[in-house]
Order: sequence, then structure tokens, then C-alpha cells
Amino acid sequence: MTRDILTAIVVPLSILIPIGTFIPKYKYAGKETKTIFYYLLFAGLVNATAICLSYLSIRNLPLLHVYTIGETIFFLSYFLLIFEKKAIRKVLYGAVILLPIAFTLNFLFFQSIYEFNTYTRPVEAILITSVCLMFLYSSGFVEDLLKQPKSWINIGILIYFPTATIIFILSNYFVFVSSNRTLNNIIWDVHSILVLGMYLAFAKGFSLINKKENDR
Amino acid sequence: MIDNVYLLIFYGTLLLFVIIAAFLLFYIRNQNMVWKQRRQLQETQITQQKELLNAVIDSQEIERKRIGQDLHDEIGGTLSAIKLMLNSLKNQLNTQQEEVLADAKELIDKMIVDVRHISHDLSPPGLAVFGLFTTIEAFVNLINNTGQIKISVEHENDLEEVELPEKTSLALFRVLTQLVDNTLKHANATEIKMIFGIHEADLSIAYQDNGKGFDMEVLHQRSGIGMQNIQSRLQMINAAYLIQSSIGDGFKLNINYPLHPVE
Repeated sequence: MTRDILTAIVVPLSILIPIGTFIPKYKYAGKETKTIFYYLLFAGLVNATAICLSYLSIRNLPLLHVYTIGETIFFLSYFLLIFEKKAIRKVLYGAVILLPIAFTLNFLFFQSIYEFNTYTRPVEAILITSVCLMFLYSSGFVEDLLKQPKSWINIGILIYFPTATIIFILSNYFVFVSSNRTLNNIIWDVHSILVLGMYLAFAKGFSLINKKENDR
Repeated sequence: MIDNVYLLIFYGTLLLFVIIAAFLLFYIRNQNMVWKQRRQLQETQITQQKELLNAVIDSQEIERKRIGQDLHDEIGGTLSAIKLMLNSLKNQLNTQQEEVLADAKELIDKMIVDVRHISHDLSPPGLAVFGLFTTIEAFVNLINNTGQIKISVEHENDLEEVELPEKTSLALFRVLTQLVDNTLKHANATEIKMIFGIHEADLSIAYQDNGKGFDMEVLHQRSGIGMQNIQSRLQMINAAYLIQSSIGDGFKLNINYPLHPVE
């Protein structure tokens, strides 16, 4: 029961925290935080649709394939906006175009749309983790690191994606192969907590956007 | 329904590699940054100490110059005036009083000479006009005349063209006089050699005595004020120096002062 409340109510609704924090600051927010805000709207919408489909007993896994493509585009666009190095930006442009194509090809030819996209989602998560770490490395010493919205967004990304990659890799095994339901439940609870952590970090980042200066 | 296990293992390995590589990169950069900061801090501390030392030595020299000038002009002038006044009494005194007067005049003459020596010692007047080498030779002559020790000065090259900044001349003069003072006080030496020359755009000064020498370990553990002053003054003018000494083998100091320092 507690588990159901966490994964079915608390975590899906927790997306409203960063969204609610961002709306009053929308006017003076920078493009990068707006990108994350649009991602949250997209994620909320997909999540709501998934819950509805689940209540209607319609399989909602195809949505995950679409969600992965959207998530990739939003996060890579975010990094495109915050990176200043031309070489990295070129690679990111290439990734924004090629990855959605590759992900589409995956569900068309390699993995069924009714399976977890274990071939593509780990690629997306590893790429986002790597780019985020690269950004932290290239930014060097930053004064007032924890007073910058961007820092909290990166913290959120690093809370969720590296750990979730393992879950993405093994999701088909947990759901369709393993008969251990308890383990399966624990794994998805951990995933929910990670998502919650990311949303809270985003909310903290949004709360730091101020009127006077751009959030860069 | 079963995924390609090899691909999944590859993903897992890749993730692990990314995380470990990132950790190593961050760790190495952090270490480099800490090391760089420490080096900068040390450099700043050395610069500050050098600046402080410069300020101390500068103010010391200014004060010495002032006291020297005051002694020379005020006391020396007053003594000369007293001598003149005593001269005016010459014909007004009896024989016994004239003898006392002659003794007094002799004392005043001695005082005038002493005051001149002290004031010249405090602020060598020839340094700015005649330069280091002439002033050193005058100083050496003065010491040689006392008969306490024999000092010889050699010039390997023609040094007349060498123009040193006043601060450098003064520092080198002070170093050499301090060395002579140390030799006289502690070395039991009979001979001092000073060799001046120019080697590869450096003014080189070799000072050596044939005294009893000392163990270099003692110098590393604890330097006297005289030796500290020598080292400070040489550091102040960015001169390189090498001290060599051992028990029974005299003392040697080689100084290399860059005549065209790189900024």
C-alpha cells in the first residue's frame, strides 16, 4: 500500500513542485531552465497518460519509447545551451539529430514497442551522465556553486541518471524474466526515489532564479 | 523477450568506466589545483618576506645615512668650532694652561677623526660618486693600514665600465664589509682575497679567507645575525651565492650578480 502511494501518487505528483516553483519565475528565467521546465511538462504529461492507460488496462510501454526520445532531446538541448565549447556543441548537435533516429529504428526493428527499451535508454542515460560530468569538469572552479540554478539541475541529473542506468539495463529482466516480485517492487521504488530526488533538485534550482540576473 | 546480454554488460561496463574516469579526472584536477595553490601561496609568502626585508634594509640604510650625516655635519662641525675657539685662547694662557689646551685640541682632533670614521662607516660617501670597486679598495686600504690582516683585491676584467645601481653597490659593500668583520672577529685568518670579475653577464665576486673555517651544518642549523644580514642583502638584490667552508679550510663565498636581470 505504502509502495503504491509512493510510486502511483507521491512521485507523479512531485513533478508539480518544480513546475510550481518555476511558473512565477518564467518571465526572467534563462533558456536553459526553460528547457528543463518544458521537459517537466512533457514528463508530467507522459506520466499522466501512462497512469490513465494503466487504469484503463491498456499497455503503456510504447509511451516509454516516445518518452525516451523526448527526454533525450530536452536534456541534450539543455546542455547545448549551457556548453560554450564549439567542439562539444557540434557533438551534441549530432547527438540530438542521430539519437532520436536511432531510438526510432530500435523500436521499429530491434526491440518490441511492448518491451522496455533496454538498448536505447542506457545509451541515453550514459550520454547524459557523461555530458553532465564533462560540463562540471570544464566549468572548473565556480564561485557560489550552490547558488546557481544550473548547478542544482546538474545535481538532479547526476542523482537520477547514473543509478537509473543500471535499472534501465536490467528492466526487461526484472519485469519479464525474474519471478521475484519483491525485488521488482524494490527496484521500481528505488527508481521512484531517484526521480523524486531529481525533481526536488530541479525545484531548488528554479527557486534560485532571481529577477535581476539571468540564471546563467 | 530476453535482451542481448553482451550489449547490456557493455552498457554496465561503459557506465562504470564513465564514473571511474570522471572520478579520476576530478581527483587529478583537484590535486593539481591544491598543488598550484600551495605553490602560489609559498611564492606569495616569499615575495612578501622579500618585500618586508627590502623595506627593513631600506629604512635601516636611510636611518644610517641620516645619523652619519648628522654626525658628520653637526658633531663634526661643532668640534671644529670648539677647536677654533680653543685656538683663539692660545695667546691668552700661561704655559701650564697651554699644555692642557694642546691636550684638549689633540683629543678634539681624535674625536673629529673618529666621528668622520663612524659617519663614513654608517654611510660610505664615496659609494655614490666613485662606485663600489673604488670604495672597497679604500676600505681595504684602511683595514690593511691597521696591520691586523692582509687583504688583497684582484680584478679579473676591466670593471670600470660596470655601472651598478646604488642599492646594489650599497648591498654588496655591506656584504663585503660584514664578511671582513666576520673574518676579523671569528676566523683567526691572516689573509683575505677578494676577486672581482665578469662571467657570462654576471658580476662575480669571490671572497675567501685562510681562517679556521667552520662546519657548514652549523650554518644550516643556526646562522648568526651577520650571516643572516649577508644572505638577506644578497637575496634582496637577486644575487646568487654559494658558501663553502670546512673546519681548518677557511671560508669562501662566491657571489653572482646578474648585470642584466630578466624581468
